[in-house]
Amino acid sequence: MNDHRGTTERGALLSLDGLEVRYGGAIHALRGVRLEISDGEIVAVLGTNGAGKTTLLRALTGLLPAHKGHITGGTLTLAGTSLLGLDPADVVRRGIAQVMEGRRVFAELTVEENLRTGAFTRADKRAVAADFDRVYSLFPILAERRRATAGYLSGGEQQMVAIARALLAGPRLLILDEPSLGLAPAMVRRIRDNLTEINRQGTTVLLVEQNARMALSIADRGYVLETGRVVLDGPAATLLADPEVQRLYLGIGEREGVSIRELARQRRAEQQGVVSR
Amino acid sequence: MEQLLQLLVAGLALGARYALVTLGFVVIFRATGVINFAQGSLVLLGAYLTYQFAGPWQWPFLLAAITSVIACGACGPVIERLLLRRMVGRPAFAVIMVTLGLLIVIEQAVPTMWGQDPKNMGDPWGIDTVQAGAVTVAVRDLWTLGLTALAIAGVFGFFRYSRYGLAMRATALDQEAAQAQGISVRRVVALSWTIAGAAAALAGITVASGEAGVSPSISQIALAAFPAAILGGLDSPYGAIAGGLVIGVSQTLTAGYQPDHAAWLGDNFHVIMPYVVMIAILLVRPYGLFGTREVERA
Ligand SMILES: Nc1ncnc2c1ncn2[C@@H]1O[C@H](COP(=O)(O)OP(=O)(O)OP(=O)(O)O)[C@@H](O)[C@H]1O
Ligand SMILES: [Mg+2]
Repeated sequence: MNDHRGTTERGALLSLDGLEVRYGGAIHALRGVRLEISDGEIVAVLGTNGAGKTTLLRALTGLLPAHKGHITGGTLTLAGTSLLGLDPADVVRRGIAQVMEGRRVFAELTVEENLRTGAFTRADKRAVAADFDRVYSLFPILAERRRATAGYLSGGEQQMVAIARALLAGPRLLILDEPSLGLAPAMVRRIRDNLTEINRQGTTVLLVEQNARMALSIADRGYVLETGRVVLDGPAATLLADPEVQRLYLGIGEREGVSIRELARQRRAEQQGVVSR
Repeated sequence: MEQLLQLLVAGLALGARYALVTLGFVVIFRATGVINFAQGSLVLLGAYLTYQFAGPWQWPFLLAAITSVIACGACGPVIERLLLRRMVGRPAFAVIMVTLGLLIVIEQAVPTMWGQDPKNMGDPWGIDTVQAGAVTVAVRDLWTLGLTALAIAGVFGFFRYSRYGLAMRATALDQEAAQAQGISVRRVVALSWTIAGAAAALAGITVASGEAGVSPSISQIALAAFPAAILGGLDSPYGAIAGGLVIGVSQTLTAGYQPDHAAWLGDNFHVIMPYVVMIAILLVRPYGLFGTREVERA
């Protein structure tokens, strides 16, 4: 194990065991998923389209009911207490904040208003103000553009808004759903460096990605999901060296420079297909 | 000239009443996607409750009016809870029929309780007028303009500066993303119905004050306010105000001038004026005056 942070001595922050998720009774989207994250880690979850990555995050954050999905089995705990049956607001209050797939910034609100929504559940004004300072120093461009309408920012800046908004919830665990999606390589590197810095400042990170190269370059450990099952897990270096991972995921990484836009467009079209069903 | 000024003041006052009802349409539509035709029934209830408090029960008028506004504000979320929450996910048509059904039920129930004949609501200004030069203005119109301006400023200040106002705007833009921030969509919806109910009651009070009186027909204001909501842009609170004022002024001007200048249009042309204006504006701006062209980079 390359886990320099010492999984055993800190104990699991987040722990899933045998997690089963179904949509509308028929679609079996997660099958017996087991996953652990220790305090202070960066953990990557890799998987191709439809593997169940977003479903996993919805299960963690109480957003399944909005999609007619439910957890039909297994356990899910944060620092020892169950998260089953909590609504999204409770989950945020317990310390999990997420950056949703596709950024989902509030396009007509200003940057600052977007960030304020992230702090919605918090009463401690001082702590929120301190977190505003923290995210503005992490993302100076957002401080400059705090009065700009978020919908007019570039894709990369919008991703920063989404991350900053999640940080304003003051989370112990930050989860991100494909933050590199649709971004140019230079921007992907910046986001990656931001995540390293956020983790260094003390926030545990669960990073869902198809860009395995990016995710494994900063993660301590990783899991590979395939059709709702964990098929592989281990230290990041081991996964990077795994021939199956190289064939499946690092191939996608190579296409990145050529037509990431095209890739993103296809993916978005596919997702809209899913939603309208 | 005097006639024009006089008509403009009366038109703005009428428009302000529409704006209150329209604001209710818009606030509920933004939170839930439902067009709430039952809005008219809360207009009615607001006026009759005020009458009940100030008339038979002899309360001071201001207290009667405020209590009625609060009561209707409380009725909003109750209607949502009992009826509309069960309709979530049903076809839009079915939901609209439920709100229309509710309107019809309350429109029938109110005269059963209070009778068909018009009542004097007990407002202190009654049919008083003030004279400014050659221009005569009804005191009720001045009160209407003042109270409405206050209420609307309050609602907009709430949207802009309060925590729940921000939550309401965020929810209107992306419900799931709002939930992911820990915003309770249920509370946002309840709050929207509260605002709509209270605004409807205030509209009812201002419609029924003065020589108009409280009668079952005042719920019809919602029929004229509906095109105002469409032409303003159903999802825009600013549009609600602009739409209400445009409809009010054009209706009053039509009532004032059309009989003399275009008598061939008949006696009641001003009644359909809201729809004429709505159609004209939608031809030029399909999303209404302030409706969303999405703010989004390609
Ligand atoms: N709302 C839904 N209703 C029904 N089925 C769904 C729903 N959302 C997802 N699914 C199904 O669940 C499975 C997992 O989907 P999910 O979105 O979690 O995958 P993903 O790994 O996030 O994919 P992507 O990389 O495309 O985002 C897929 O088969 C998908 O079709
Ligand atoms: Mg996904």
